[in-house]
Amino acid sequence: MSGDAGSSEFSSEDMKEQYHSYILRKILFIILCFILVIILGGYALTIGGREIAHLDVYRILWEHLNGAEYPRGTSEWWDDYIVWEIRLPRVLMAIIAGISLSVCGVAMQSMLKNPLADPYTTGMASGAVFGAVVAIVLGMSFTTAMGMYGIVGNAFIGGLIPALVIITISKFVRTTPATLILAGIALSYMFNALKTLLLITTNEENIQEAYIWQIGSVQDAVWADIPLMFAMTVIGSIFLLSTSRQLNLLTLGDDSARSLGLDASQFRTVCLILLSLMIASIVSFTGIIGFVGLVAPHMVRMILGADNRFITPASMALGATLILAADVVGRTIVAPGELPVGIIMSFIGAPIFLYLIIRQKKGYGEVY
Amino acid sequence: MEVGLSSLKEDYRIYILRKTVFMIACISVALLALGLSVSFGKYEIGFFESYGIIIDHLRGIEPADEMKHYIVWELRLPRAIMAIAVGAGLGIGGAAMQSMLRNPLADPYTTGVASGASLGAAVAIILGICLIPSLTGQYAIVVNAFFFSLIPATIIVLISKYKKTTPTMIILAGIGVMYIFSATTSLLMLIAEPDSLAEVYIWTVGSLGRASWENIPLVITFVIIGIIIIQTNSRNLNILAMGDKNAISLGVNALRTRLTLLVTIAFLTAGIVSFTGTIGFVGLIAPHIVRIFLGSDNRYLVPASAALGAALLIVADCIAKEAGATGLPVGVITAIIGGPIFLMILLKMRSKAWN
Repeated sequence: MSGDAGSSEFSSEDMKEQYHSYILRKILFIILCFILVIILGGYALTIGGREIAHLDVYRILWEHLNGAEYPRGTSEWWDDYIVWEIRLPRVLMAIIAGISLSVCGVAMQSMLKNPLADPYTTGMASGAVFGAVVAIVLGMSFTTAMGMYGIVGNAFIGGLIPALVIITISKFVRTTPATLILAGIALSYMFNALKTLLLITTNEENIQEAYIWQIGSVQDAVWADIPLMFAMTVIGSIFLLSTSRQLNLLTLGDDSARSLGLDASQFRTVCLILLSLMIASIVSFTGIIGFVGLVAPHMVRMILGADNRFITPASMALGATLILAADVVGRTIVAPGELPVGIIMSFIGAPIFLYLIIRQKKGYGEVY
Repeated sequence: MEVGLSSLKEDYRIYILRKTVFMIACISVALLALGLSVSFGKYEIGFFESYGIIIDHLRGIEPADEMKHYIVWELRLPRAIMAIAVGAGLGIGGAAMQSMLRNPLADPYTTGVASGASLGAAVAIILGICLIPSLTGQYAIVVNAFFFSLIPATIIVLISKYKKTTPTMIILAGIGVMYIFSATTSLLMLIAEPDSLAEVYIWTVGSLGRASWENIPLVITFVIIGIIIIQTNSRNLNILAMGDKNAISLGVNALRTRLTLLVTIAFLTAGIVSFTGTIGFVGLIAPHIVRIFLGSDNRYLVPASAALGAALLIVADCIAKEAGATGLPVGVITAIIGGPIFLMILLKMRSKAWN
């Protein structure tokens, strides 16, 4: 008997050990992403007309945070000004957009029980962009807010329409991933047409503007854009991280969720409004950056396995890394010109989308 | 027993009658809209006057008003005929695609054909490169669009040949390929001059503005060949709708039928798209409306979708010509009308027929 007890104790030790290394791997992954963000972010701050070395960038940021002041016009003042005022907003915007869009992707995948859902494939991003274009071109606001908040408000309403449609459909019909994605494509088609209509009838030469709105980019980032998107991302991420249990319950279906004490439809409505706000606050400033919400969670599942507790934080970290990396790549491969991050993300995301479909393996989150 | 039989016969007669009436109605709408489409435009020409001019021309009578004759015959009629041919082609393509993939939301573009064509057009317009080097201008665009649109279709056909594919997978793979091609087109559009950008943009939205008598025979050839192949396969399509296993037990080679149809639809769509750009939703909606009236029997669904597609597109083009100061690309109109209908279909999908 004692021998049995000993061996069981040994195996439980062993299991604990394994479990620890399993958790450790996940934490290491997140830390690795974090380090990558810092390195890439630092590198991104060196790109531009004025030569500033990679390591100097960190020193400049550190000193700025410590309240260093330089006499106007000196070389130090210029370094500080360029890094802090001109280059940093862009890096921050990329990081925030990456975090926000991947969180949205993870949440939508659980909410819709559909591994191919993300802000782009469900048409929410196109709806939001349409709302924003209405505000910009017609100067018309669906809400009473004006200026920047008017644009974001419109984007919110615009993004809510496809979200409602998708939710209604997935509630009444058992949608397959194919159906959902087709619906998303149809919605984006429709919003694109409306946007074209708007831009062509107001001014024939606006096609270029309409087009540029369509591809996501972070190149026009300024400090004034950051607070709103940052606030929305923080609120949304905290909510979604703290409700990851409820999100997991949703994947079991509404009846099971209810029997486990969750009002599924109410919770879904709250999530939906929050997601629309998050997407609107990003898309109003960046345009459509596709696939982040799709690619980040799937890559995390491939690397770490399908443990939902880690998917959200790991996707946030990976999403930020991805957009930042895409932006750095876009700025370096055709330097001195640049490619918008939206295009680079499509080139990364589209093949992964195709790969997910053609070569599906159980455990990565089945595609259908 | 006898009473039952005669009432059955009666039912069948009504069923056939309904089909005939529906087809006649569609064709009449298309012909009416043809007159409307020809009379719309900056230069005032009456509705009946336009028919008069067309009939006079066909009978070989010298036109009374040279100017009106030129506008009707050379400028407006080709566009109207193009609308009819393209609408019919997209209608049958959609009907076949939906039955084949057993998904009500499939349409001819689901194979990624349209995105390929857009890329081909963008390559010709922006880079000035054509696959047949000696060609330039309009022909270069058409040739490029045609060959490029066959690339995604080939990828899908290859995937469905070498991997055991379900209909869902074909759709999703088509979309995946579409995303890749769209990204490439975006890249090209980014480096384009504003003028060529506008051209490519309108192309991706879809327009009938470039129709001319020279294009029409080609498009009509594609459409007619497409109709013949799909119509002769319509019985097999009916069987495919019952699932692959049932089809095999009934002696239909499901994979081969699907492959034949996929190739046919790819060529048909490529032929259309290379002249007009991406006109969305016609291929999606026409078969659906037909299904509401006639049911899902592909023997009737296919020709009726062709008739209705033609009617829909020419009506949409009439609206497009009249909208705004200078008219809009017809693709904008079909998307705005088609989008909501599409969503209605999705909500109606609870019905067992598709699940």
